[in-house]
Amino acid sequence: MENKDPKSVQDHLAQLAQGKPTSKKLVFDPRTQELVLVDANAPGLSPDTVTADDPTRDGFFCCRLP
Amino acid sequence: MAWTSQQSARLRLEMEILSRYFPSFVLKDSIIPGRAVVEGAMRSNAGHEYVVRLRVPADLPNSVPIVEIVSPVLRDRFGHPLVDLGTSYPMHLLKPENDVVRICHYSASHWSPNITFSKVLLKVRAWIEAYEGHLDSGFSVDHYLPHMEA
Repeated sequence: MENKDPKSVQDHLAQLAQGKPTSKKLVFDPRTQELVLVDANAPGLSPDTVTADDPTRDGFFCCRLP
Repeated sequence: MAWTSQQSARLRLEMEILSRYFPSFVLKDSIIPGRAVVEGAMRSNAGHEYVVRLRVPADLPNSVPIVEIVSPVLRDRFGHPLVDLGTSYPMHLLKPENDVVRICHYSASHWSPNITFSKVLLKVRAWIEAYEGHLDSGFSVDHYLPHMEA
């Protein structure tokens, strides 16, 4: 089942950032430009759908201030 | 100086990929290396629109592209402009220029020429969602988006 609720998506991002396991997968739907939560093993995703979890897990760089 | 033939081919490839995943993004000032930008709109899940500009590096694809949020003027939860933060570790921001917020996404040490603009913009799209999370919750952006390993 898909979930586009911003709070749910943000909670998912926070879980990933804290290294917590999640049963959901975050994907980017290029048709709507939305980030969508789907079950990790969900079938039937659009071929254009992009997994957004991995670039998020890669982390974001920023210089540490002294 | 002009783009090399390999750089021109890479730019065409980048725009082909973007037309599929971020179709509102267009290439501007593409003739002059160092001045070319890719610009378009992103919409958050809550429906707010952000104009995002990616500066195409003159040495494409060997450097990290600068990514700016051109509009709206971004403010933190307390109403302070994000540009006033300067470089911000918790908000994943680089030092702004011309009063425009710059998102830190990849470090030079993590950059690889095979990373496409599309992947960079996907990270920016996640940053936008995290930024709106900050506005709602007060947590900084790095509550939602982790830091890269050094």
